[in-house]
Amino acid sequence: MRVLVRLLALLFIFAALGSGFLYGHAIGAHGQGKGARLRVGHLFPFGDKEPSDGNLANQQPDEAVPPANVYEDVLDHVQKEFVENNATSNGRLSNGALARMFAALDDPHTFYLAPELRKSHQQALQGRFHGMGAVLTVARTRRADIEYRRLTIIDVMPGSPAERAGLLSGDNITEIDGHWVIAYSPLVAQEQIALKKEDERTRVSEVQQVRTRFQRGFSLLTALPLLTAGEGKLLQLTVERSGTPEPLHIRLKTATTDIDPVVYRVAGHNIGYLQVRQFNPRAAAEIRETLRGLDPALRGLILDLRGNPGGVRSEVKDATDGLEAVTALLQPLTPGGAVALLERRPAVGKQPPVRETLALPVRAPARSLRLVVLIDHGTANLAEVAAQALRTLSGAKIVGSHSFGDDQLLFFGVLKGGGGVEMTTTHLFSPNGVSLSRGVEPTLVTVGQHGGDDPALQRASMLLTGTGE
Amino acid sequence: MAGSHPQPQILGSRLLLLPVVISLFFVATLAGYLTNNEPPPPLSSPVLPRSLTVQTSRADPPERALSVAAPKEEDASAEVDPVASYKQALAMLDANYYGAPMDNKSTRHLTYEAIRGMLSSLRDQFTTFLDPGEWSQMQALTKGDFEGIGAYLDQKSGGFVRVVRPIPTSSAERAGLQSGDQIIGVNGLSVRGKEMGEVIKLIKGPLGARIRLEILRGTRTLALTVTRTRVEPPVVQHWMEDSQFRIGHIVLSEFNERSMEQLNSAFHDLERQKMKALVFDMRSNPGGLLDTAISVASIFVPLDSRDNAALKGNVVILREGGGQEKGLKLRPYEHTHGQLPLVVLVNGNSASASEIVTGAIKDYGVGTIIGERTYGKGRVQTLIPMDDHSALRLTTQLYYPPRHVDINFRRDEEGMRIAGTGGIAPDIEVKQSAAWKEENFRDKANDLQLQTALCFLRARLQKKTVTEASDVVKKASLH
Repeated sequence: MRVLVRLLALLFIFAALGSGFLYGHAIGAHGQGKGARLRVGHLFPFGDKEPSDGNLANQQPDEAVPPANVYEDVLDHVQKEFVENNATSNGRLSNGALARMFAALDDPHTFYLAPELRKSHQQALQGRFHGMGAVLTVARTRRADIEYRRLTIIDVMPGSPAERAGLLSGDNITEIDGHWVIAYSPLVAQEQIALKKEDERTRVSEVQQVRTRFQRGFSLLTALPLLTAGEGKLLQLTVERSGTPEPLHIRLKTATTDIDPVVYRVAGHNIGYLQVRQFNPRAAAEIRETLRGLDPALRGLILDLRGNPGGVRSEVKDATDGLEAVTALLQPLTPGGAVALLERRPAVGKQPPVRETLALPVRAPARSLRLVVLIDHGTANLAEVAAQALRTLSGAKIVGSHSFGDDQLLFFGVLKGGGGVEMTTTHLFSPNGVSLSRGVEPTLVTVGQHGGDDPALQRASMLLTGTGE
Repeated sequence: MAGSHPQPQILGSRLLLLPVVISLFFVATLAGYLTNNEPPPPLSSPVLPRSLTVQTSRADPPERALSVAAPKEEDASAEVDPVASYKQALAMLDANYYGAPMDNKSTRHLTYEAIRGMLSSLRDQFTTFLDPGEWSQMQALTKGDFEGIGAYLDQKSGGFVRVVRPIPTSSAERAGLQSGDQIIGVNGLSVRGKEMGEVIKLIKGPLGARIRLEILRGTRTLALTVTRTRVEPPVVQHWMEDSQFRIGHIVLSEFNERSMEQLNSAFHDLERQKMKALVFDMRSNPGGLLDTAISVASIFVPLDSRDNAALKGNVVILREGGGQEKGLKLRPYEHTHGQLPLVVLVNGNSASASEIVTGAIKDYGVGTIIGERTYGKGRVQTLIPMDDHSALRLTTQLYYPPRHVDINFRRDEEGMRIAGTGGIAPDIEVKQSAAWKEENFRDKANDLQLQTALCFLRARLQKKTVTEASDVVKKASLH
């Protein structure tokens, strides 16, 4: 086990030094005071750019020079002087720069989206899914000071290639076409090797295999476009599912999947059924219209938030922001009040994070309805906020299975050049300060859907018609 | 801008000792596994009594048609401006990101990372960005001297800082510091549990400062006093390898500003001992300054061997991005050392400047190349200092040996080196014995390449021609 830890550390160090050189650390700074004999004029004849003797000993950056100037300078030199001048297109350089800049934040929910990926991602937020037709996240767990990351499916869209292939919310994608997905921790493989009772030679050869897989592995930047962009591509996925000891091998062909974010129907005698698949501006408009047009005779409403991954914050006009749809849903169905706490980074330095209450104005609801909310493992993020708020503000019953537990609200932004960014912007808490990462526990737990059977929906109807209790 | 100044150029680096090159994003992802992330904020953190009303966060949108029309595409065809995108991305982080605030320090860190990402998109492993720390270290190394006690150090995780080796002739060596010594105290302070950076800080001081080190050597502890002086790590070693045939051996381990001076004094010493033939050893020499490489090549090619019209007196031919080529000429040194029978020893880690010298000696026919195919790096980097004390190390030119053969190794789609391509093939190929201990070139018994060189030169000194001497070597190796 140690062997691999060291191997990984070594790989990391190699990579870190890739930009420098492996000279070892010679003690001492160069060119201090009068002893400095460095003929910088000879070595670096750049006139005003010559570092002075004093500065040479100073290994710190000159804070007076704005970083943006350095960025611009480097770009200029690269474009004018790099030996292969066909390799220096603006798009390529910019994508490389931003991808690594965001990767340096080491936050699996925060990354740069190259133009193609940004487009498909934005469309997915608006209800048109590409690739496998699923919403993905990088789930993190921590054990013994080591963080494990897995590329995890939050939700599978109805009618998508992922659904046809039998993928489920909570599945971890570990390989694509035999390439390791690097979000998936290599330390897991290391543990597996360590657990095996084998001789040293087998162990070493397995470590070697891990290393090779590592080198051939797909970073998230490679994996995400394969899974969430394009169509007509055959993918062979290796998937880990909890409760299934052996990994599953799943083949699918990517395609476009359109989702109608809101579905409404009458589900029985004076019972309405409103399904919300996604929180985005289109959902907001449809929810508003649907709730406005509800039959006045309606006694109860089933609100189906199963498989709803929530939404994002965004400044992209009329396109992606999810909070408005939450308001559109909660405002008519609750008397108002605190919905959630949003925890943000403080404005300055090392202050503790700031929490703001997300609240709806208090007023009598337009009408009083008995509410049942359906949730499952795919109910995540803003959908969890909505379910929780309906319970606390309107006494809604929650039926189904424990929700995903996704407390990170993301911000989606589009850059002028066509690329985009997605980043963690706030963490979500219940109004009384419980992290949403724990998920929402239903009032009534039911087993999942089986064939045409929908036990959760049946229980919800029974609750509302009064035949269940 | 080329041509307005003499370009500072450097060839090769220890980079080539790194067998593993990993994609950059990968590195950043990996970092998360190996470091502890910041703990989550405590739940007891103060809650500001500020209320945000959802309704007011956004104007009521107009009613819209509920079709499933593809969303409107904005900016799709906009020309990418890398600077504007970078600034906009930073501004978005500043306004929205949950993680660390975008203060000066993190902005600079992210900018350096962005620059590294930009450079990695060029898929040229020799183009790199040096932060101010790396850059000053690099300057010290190309200059060939620096201030300090003169020792290479490393540290295993959790252990003491260890002396990898003292630099010959340095204060550390004179004080008796040895390879493997562990530093347990500096000036009376224990350094148990301290990182190497902290220990190095303690050892720093003005020129002439005396530093007391407590050393753990095996099970003994001892105290040594070292003085901070100007350290000039030797890049040339020499000795008379065969005193009967008077075959000298010069090892050049790097091309820096000190190389020529040290090389000349080595020649002077060996010539005083009536050297008759020379083994010039550039095995594992990673390169260095282009200017030094031209000087070194020039001392091996006698003036009367430079007449070959096809070679035009070139040491090396540089090719810019635009395709213009420029031959750099041999220097007109009156005294050269090419008259003696000469063997150049090279291996797969002889790179860059070493390959320039090897190529010139081979193309002008003034020596015999023995060993293994060289590394294959025909790319010149220019070091460009940035205003904030960082620097860009940019591949600006390709180069060819005088006969204009491309020695660059080939790369696969991912930019990784394809083994067995590029480099300069030796005249006599000799794989090194696996038993050979490379350190210091003193393990002569197992040094098959050196033994072959000596066998060859002895034959030459016995009036055999190059061809005959090569045959002697080949026959000898059959047994």
